[in-house]
Amino acid sequence: MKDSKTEVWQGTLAMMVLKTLDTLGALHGYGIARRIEQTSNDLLSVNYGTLYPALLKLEQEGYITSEWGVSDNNRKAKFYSLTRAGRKQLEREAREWQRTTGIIARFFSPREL
Amino acid sequence: MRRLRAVWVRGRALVQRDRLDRELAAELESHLAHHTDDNLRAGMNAADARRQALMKLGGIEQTKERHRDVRSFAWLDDARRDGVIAARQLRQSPLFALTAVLILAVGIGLNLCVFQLLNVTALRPLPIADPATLVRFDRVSKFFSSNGVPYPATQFIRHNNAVLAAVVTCHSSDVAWEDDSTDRLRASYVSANWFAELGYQAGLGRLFVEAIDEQADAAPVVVVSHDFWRTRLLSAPVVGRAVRINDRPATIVGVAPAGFPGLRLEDPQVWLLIHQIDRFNPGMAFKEAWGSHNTQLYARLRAGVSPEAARDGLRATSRELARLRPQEFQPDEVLQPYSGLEGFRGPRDRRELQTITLLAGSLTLIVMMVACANLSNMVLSRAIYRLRELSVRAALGATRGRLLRHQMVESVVLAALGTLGGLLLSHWATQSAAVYASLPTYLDLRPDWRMAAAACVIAALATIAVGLVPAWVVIRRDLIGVMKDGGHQTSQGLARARMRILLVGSQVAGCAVLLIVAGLTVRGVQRMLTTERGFEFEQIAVLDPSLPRYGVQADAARAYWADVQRTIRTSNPDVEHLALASQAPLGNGVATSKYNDAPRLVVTSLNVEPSFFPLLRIPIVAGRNFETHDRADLTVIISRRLAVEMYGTLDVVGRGFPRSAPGPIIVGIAADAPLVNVTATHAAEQYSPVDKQHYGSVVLLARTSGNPERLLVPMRAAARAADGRVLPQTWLPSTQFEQRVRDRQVASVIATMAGMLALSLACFGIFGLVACGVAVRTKEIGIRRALGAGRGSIVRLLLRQLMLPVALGMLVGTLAAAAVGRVLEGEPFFLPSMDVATPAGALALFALMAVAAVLAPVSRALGTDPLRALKHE
Repeated sequence: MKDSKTEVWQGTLAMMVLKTLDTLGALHGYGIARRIEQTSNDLLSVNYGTLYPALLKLEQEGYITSEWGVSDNNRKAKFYSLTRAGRKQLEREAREWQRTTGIIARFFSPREL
Repeated sequence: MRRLRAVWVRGRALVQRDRLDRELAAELESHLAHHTDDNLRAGMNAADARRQALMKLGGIEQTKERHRDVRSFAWLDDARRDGVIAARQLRQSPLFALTAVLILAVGIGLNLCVFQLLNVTALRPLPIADPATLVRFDRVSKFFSSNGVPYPATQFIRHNNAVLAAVVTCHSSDVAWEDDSTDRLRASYVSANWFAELGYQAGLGRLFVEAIDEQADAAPVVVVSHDFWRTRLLSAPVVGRAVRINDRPATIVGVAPAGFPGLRLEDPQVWLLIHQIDRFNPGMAFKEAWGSHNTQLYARLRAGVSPEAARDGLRATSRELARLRPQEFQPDEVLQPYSGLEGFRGPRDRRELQTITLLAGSLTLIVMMVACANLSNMVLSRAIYRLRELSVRAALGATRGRLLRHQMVESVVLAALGTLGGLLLSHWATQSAAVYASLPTYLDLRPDWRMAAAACVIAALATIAVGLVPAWVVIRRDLIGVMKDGGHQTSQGLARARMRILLVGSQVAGCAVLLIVAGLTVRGVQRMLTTERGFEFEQIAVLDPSLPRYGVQADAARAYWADVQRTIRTSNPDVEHLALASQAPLGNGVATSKYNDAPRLVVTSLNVEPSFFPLLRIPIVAGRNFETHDRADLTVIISRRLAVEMYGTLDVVGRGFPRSAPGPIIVGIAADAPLVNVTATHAAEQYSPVDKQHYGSVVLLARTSGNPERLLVPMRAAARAADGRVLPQTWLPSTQFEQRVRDRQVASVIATMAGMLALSLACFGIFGLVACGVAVRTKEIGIRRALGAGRGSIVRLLLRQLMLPVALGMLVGTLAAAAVGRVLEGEPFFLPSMDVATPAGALALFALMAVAAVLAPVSRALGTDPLRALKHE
């Protein structure tokens, strides 16, 4: 049973994933999860399991690609990286976000007399 | 675009399931390993590190589930898994699976057969060039309508209209082939543009061509049908061969292509030119017969002219015709067009088609409904046994929708297999039906897209009919409660379920209808064989020289017959009687009428010589027979039934006939003698003497004390001796009768088989219902018997729920059968009207079988040891 909160959450999560990959380059699933937690100053406590379906969806839509490789710990891991379409989507999302926050900010800022 | 790509990837994932599962497991394991490493570095011990990593990940199985949901189309995946499970379950009960598929195959096959026959004769568009602009005309006026137009009128219309691009005519008849006058071929006399307008090229040689064959002095030519060429002429190179048609010379110019259609299901073996008809029937007044409806009139409309515009445009032509021939044409007459898109069918044809379709369709649908209801019950029983499994699934989080889908998949598999079997069965059934009903040979019976669509629809209906009810009934229950009480309460409730009772009731109804209809057909055959016929035809032979074809009429005809009769008498001393009559008993093409004074009776009118009555051993019960001076417009003899119906008494000699518009005087009353349909109960006869003008169109009946078959050749010889042009036909009424009995017997066998099938299905259903009730009530029965309940009350308990559906079902079935019987009473079925004995007998048979069906489970229930029953789990 999906409610709108879950859908908003999944959309936000997708954006965070894209931004993380944009900043840090190719990363494996655990790395992405850890980084998101760090960036949000541990305010977001992510259930790591929700990350993998989201990664799969992004891969299905062609925004990221995956490749098996070896990590720093000398373990096998699946690395995800941003595609050109993913970068464009990220830019689009960022612009949208700026516009939305700009409009809302007008409502909350004191009016000029 | 992105969505499309996602769909494509998801579709691909369907076939990569195992590999993707393994990859995900590896990825999650890698994730856990990395997290554990970090935890170890942060100072946790090994066990805690791993545990914390697991907790942070969330449930592995749930992650995998969610991943699987996103990965591919969940419902498709589920369906695939359900299908595998269903197949396994069916393999485990092969008897049920086989029975179910067989029953479905028979039910679906019957329906597909009826559909295919309808498809081939009515639904498929005629394979002719541009059917929208080819029309057939009926003559319609206030007082009558006719689908035949006099030939000279067609030529007049051809040369006096502004709306038709071409006029195409057709006259169906039969011709004698080569030297044998008894070897008759179906023939169509057509206009020279027949083949060209329909858009066909020859299979061999050439077809009729206007430029060559339309000329008045064109050589007599004939085109043979593909089937005739293949079967009778053995595919020989016949083009240019000289043959004799009606003992006249003609040349075969070509063979029609296979599959060349008839426009109204006619199936001629040869085509001849209509303007040469008098060459093959010398003296026949066809081309100048303004008063007879002998020709089918078709026309190709001019470009841009609609059928309605053509009708209006032809009004002027009709008025001109009425002015020229006021005797034969009314001024308010209209030529009503019917286009090729509707199969050239007029309102009467359409009604006939609808009745037959409705009848055949309803009967086969009833069989299928009974079959599906039966299967539904069986599936329900199986579902009840698997209630526990379902409740566990529900507890694990399966939604009702998911459970419903799971239940339905088994029905889908059964329906799919049943449809395959049904397609095979229908193929065989259609071929047999086409042969039995003498359908034209050019029809292509192979399945087409319409048949495939019908098969899909029927399969879907069968799936729903078989699977939905049990699935829905089971799902509705409180499944968690089931888990708690081990399935007993719910099972009992289900055993009482209204749905099951409804299913059994509908089976009983369907079974009753089919049994009663079967009974009626069997009675029909019985009556044909045993009824007091009122006349005796075993020793009769009939001679029909078709004098109109040679233009022999009136006095010439009378002289002809005198000759023939003299010859026959002298060369055959065992001939007892000879009589001329306008029709022979058991013949075809009978003229009937109805009188307002006796609206229930269908009256056959004949012109007969006085010797007719002693010849057929029809007694005159009042008044006198005709004498030679009696005239047709002044005297009449009527049958007893007609006298009683119309006048209420037998004392009618000397009165005028018919009662409200008296014309001829009744001189005698004959015993009832249904000459055409031997078992009809609402038939009556009206006899008039043979006058001069009738001699041209009568046949000769001969009664012999010896073998009537030995008369056939001498009769033909006598007919030819009296006039060399004549090509006579002879036949025996007893042969016709035997053929009819045979036809009815086949029909009654089929109906009986359907009835027996329905009977076994219904009894099976009743057996299943009671057995299930006994099985789930074992504990209750044990308790009651331990408390001292007698056998009678146990039996009443078990059968109580059966009373209502069986009684209701029989009532509904009887009413439905009455309706069906009413329809079947009319032409061409002529079943006896519903007496009380037939339905009573059918229902008694059903009751007997039903009692036999419940005997086993009930006696088992009565025989169980109460203590064992109480311990039953």
